[in-house]
Amino acid sequence: MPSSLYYDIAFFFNYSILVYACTLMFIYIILGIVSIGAIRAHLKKRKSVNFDNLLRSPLAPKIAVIAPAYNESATIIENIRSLLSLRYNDFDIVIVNDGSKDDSLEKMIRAYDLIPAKRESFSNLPHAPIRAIYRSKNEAFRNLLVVDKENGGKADSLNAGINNTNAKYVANIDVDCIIEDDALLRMVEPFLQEIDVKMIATGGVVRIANDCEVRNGRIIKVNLPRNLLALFQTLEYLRAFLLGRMAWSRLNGLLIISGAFGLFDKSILIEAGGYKKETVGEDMELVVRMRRLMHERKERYKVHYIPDPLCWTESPTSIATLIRQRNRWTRGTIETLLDHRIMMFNPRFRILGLISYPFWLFFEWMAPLVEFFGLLYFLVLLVLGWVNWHYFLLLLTLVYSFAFMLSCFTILVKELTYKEYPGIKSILTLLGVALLEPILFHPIVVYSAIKGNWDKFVLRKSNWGSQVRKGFGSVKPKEQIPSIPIPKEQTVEI
Amino acid sequence: MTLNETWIIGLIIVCSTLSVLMLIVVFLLKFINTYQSNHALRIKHLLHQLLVDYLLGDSLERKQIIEKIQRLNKSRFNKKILIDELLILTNNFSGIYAARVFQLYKDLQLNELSLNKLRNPIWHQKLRGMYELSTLEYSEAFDEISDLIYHPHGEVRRNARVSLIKLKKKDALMTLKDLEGSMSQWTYVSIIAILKQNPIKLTGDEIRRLKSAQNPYVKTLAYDLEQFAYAQ
Repeated sequence: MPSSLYYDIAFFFNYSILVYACTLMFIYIILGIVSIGAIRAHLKKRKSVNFDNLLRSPLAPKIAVIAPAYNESATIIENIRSLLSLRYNDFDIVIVNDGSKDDSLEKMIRAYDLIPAKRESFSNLPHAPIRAIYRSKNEAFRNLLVVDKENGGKADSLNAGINNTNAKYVANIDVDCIIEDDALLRMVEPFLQEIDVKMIATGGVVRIANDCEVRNGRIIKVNLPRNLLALFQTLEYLRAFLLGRMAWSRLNGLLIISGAFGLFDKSILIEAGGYKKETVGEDMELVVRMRRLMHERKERYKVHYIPDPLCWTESPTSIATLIRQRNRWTRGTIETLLDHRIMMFNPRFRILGLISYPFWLFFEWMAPLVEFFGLLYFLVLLVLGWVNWHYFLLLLTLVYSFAFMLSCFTILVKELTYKEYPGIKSILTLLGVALLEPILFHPIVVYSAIKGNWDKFVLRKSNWGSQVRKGFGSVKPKEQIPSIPIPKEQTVEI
Repeated sequence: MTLNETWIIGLIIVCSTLSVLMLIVVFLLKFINTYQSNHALRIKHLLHQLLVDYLLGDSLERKQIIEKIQRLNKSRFNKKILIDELLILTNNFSGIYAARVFQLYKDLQLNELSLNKLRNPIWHQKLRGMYELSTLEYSEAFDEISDLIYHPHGEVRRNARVSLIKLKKKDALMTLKDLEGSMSQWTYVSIIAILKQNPIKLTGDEIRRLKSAQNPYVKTLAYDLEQFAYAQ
């Protein structure tokens, strides 16, 4: 028979888990409500914004699109072509060849008539040595700059790219992402609209591009992925970007702008010290450091999120790749939170210190740990035969029904705002995914996060790991249309 | 059953009910959206044919086409589609065709619809009204829009300034000369782009007056105008 000690322990754990779960649910509800208001306001405004004036203006501020590339030989030419066709008046494309071991550089030199150019450094962010700078002889590619450097990682390459541009704003992207052609116009608009508040960074929504129709480096038809794992991530991304980040942006408490696509005020980025090479979560770390700098200077500032889908990326389709990616995200989060622990509950940093940081600590970093220890606790009780099955099942049903409700809310917001996925079938598919996600996908995410914690604190791991990319495929069997070629599976070490 | 468990059951019921309600709304929305987009496609197809005939036809043909469009233009939704089409045409055409588009906008009294939006207290309706009136260059709306350059809502304020320039370039510049407060870079860029695309003649005296404006932002704008919009 369980002793009274059991009752005390069980009481404590049961209530703790319940309070934790209810707090998290409450926060998600608040974020959802805030988010829908922000998205609606954005969409109402968007209908009446004329980007043509900016497009043809001689006063449009210069933007440098910086894309690090490592062993991207299979797709680099098409990716650059797609970037060169972005709609903006004054922009440079800076490709940083991060010591690729394949023939990426040779292919770029051949395809774009590149010749060695004079080195011009505009800032002094630290990075690995540069071997050469290339510019095109062809006037059509005059805004293309290729920086060839020793291997140093993504953050190192971004720093090298930033040093080699005189642009006012820098858009840091993943070279294998598909960027919407008007993305720069949309991203730079908040910088130009603000008067009294300094806009330091803007981010765009990233969507899953698996199985979408791609032609000439542009998404021409949006499809849901056929792979179940990618489908889970589609719903997850919709939830994270439409509900989470949009709400945090509205509250001016956003801590992360996706490394896949973000636009930054270069002067603030440089003053903050550029990208930190020693972390695997350089995107989040940079935003936190830039925000910290602005707080320390006591300047009013904003980090803005644009809910329009501006960037499309390929999501992992194998469990092993997904685990590696999430493991890295977890380690990145931990590193950033530890680096900036001074902000925790520090009123000097306002919403950042009082709400955003604690949220990331307790609910982004610790939620998987709580789940894991909850599972261990359950196993102990199971072995001892002390499980209160009635209570356990109720709690499980509550969490499941809340998760499903949140996914339904996400689908509703999607239907009210961006209706990219056509047909009733897409709704039914997403509903099916919402039903299965807590059972099939969530355990993988929790496992990856636990592994990330283990790797960080026990194995002291600090590298990126490898990622298998398939490349974007075009589904157009009836006619021959020039499209991005489907490369063979390649392993990309970053 | 403990109080704790009763609460949990209550929450489960709330979550499940909300999920079902949201799903019903999602499916309803999907049906409505599908219906509306099909309807819009059909209307657009009809409108495209009529608009091409209108732009290329003689005055008699144009009158007949106006009647046809009026018959098509009964619902608010159809009017919205027509205004969107006219906005696209205005952005793509200039000269005689742009003038015809504007005449159609007036003949169909769509300007009244835009003016109603401008007078609507909701900020995004004002924005839309301004956008339509300024893109279609309905200059009679100048005074009503100029009342909005100090509107408490930042978006309305910013758009009002740019819209004025689109409507009456020189008058707008002189109105902005006495502007109080600041001007965003977006407004700057837009004003200069509009004036670069549709140049007006500013006399040396007018430029001097702008350069001597009290407002430092307008002063800078005057120098930028000289450099970018009127550089000969």
